[in-house]
Amino acid sequence: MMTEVSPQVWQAVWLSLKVASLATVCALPVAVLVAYLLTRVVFWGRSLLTIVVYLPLVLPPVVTGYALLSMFGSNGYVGSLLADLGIVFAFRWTGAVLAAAIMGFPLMVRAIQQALDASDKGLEASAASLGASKMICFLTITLPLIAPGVLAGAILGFAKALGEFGATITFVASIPGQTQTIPSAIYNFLQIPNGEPVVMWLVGISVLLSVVALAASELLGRWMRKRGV
Amino acid sequence: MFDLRLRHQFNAASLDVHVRSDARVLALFGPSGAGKTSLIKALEGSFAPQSAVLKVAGETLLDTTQSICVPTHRRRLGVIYQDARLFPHMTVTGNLRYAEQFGRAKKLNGAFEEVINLLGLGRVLQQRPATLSGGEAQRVAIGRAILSQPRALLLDEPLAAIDQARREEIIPYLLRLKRELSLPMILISHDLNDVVRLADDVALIDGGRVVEQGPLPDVLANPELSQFFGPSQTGAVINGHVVAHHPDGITEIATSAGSAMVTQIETKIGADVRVRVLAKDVMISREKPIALSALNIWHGSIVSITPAGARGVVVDLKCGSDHVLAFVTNRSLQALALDAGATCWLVVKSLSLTDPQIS
Repeated sequence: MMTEVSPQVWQAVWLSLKVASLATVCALPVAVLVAYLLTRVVFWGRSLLTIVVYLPLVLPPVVTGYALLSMFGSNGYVGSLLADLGIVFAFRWTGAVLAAAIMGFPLMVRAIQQALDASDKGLEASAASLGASKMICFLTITLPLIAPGVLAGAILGFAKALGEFGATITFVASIPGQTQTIPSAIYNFLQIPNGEPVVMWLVGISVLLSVVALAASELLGRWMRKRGV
Repeated sequence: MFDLRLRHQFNAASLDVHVRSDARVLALFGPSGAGKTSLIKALEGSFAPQSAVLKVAGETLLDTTQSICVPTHRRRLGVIYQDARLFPHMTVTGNLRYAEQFGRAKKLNGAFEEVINLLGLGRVLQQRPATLSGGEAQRVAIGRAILSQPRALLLDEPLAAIDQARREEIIPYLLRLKRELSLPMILISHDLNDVVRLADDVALIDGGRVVEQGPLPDVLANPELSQFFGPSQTGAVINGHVVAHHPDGITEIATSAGSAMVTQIETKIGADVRVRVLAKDVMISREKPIALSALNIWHGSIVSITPAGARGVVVDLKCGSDHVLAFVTNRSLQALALDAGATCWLVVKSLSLTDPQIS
């Protein structure tokens, strides 16, 4: 038992990596857009958007999961619409991606917002006076300057997605090989007798993944600073 | 070139100005908070005034009465800020070519090389902005603005963040721009020395209003404005040209007021210069003074006498076709029995030359 690793462990690790990566990749562009709107554009409903964005950060994750279930479940308002198009989130691995993305989203937005607040708006004005449109200005000036903040947001979001438990288990349950990520697998194996060796494996892998993610962000950050960003 | 009308009510202050000028370089001069920067911000498009008609080089950039508002990136105004605002993630070359690559400027053959030569940027092209001195960074900012092919340059206190010694890294280049490019400029400054060196027209702005505007020599020779400039800065500017470099180290400049003798300068014979005569440096004598160490003694007639503070007056004298202002105490005014129309001699204790000018 000690030498043989249960295939469920690798399934959970693989699924967690897939879910966390996809959630980060999908949520990041939206997070950049929302952070830009919140810091640079004055519009009606800005406070409302702020509340909606940061709600998952303060809400109990189980509540967020339940909200997702009632919206995206087969009887939910959005879920039934999407089901007609053949898209199902509830109790699928794609649902785990959605839950992870939503839980990581506020962390990403916050990191990017901080970078935007710290970046010099005068440089954007300067680019505009040189003839750059808003879009060009964003791509050539704003985005390169906030890149370290975007990276920090991505790492935070990825870590959050890897560790997300409450919303995920409520929304998509813990089906081995389908929706069972590392945290839900740990929880499951703690419930059964003799499950502890498997738990040790999962815990070890979790620590390893976190260290690798942190080291990667540190190296990337150093490289960016060297480039003078 | 510039016809700018602007009206705006802020919380505590109001701005109501109409500035007009056809000169090459127009200076907006006044204390900070007077409204100069709001005017520039409205021009560049980062501030939306309640009511404004802004025309630059015949083009209407903003007209609130006709709902015309050209977007910032299409206004083609090269703005140079106090802090150079170079893009830190690009090299100097990247900054200079930004307008060409990402803006609306067309790639012109030789323009890049010309600007580099004009501003002396050859040695720093590969550097990052963080490694440049304040003067170098400001020159790159100027070059970057010129390469965006603007219809005018707006210089918003370009020298304010640079110490006095380093200003010489920039002012000669600005004069060179004025001479070699036909680009209208607005210079914002609260330092009269910079205005005198660079501007052709000047608009004095204080408390959100235009106090006076017109050609620089006319505005500076207006005795009514001595309160505005203060006792240390009041003084006329007269035009002249270099006629001789004497072997004893004195350069002679011909003006309509008479010859002005200054310690040797390097300017070529025939070059046009501006001579600034501060009112505090002019003494008045009813009789021709003899055996004085002062080199410049002119003759003129009193046009007017204007009270300036509690202790003295500003005397406006006509010398040739130029006006010279002199501070005189009330006691001397009475002792000499000065009156409009009287002729007298002027002893100019010191005068300063500003850079060679173009007409």
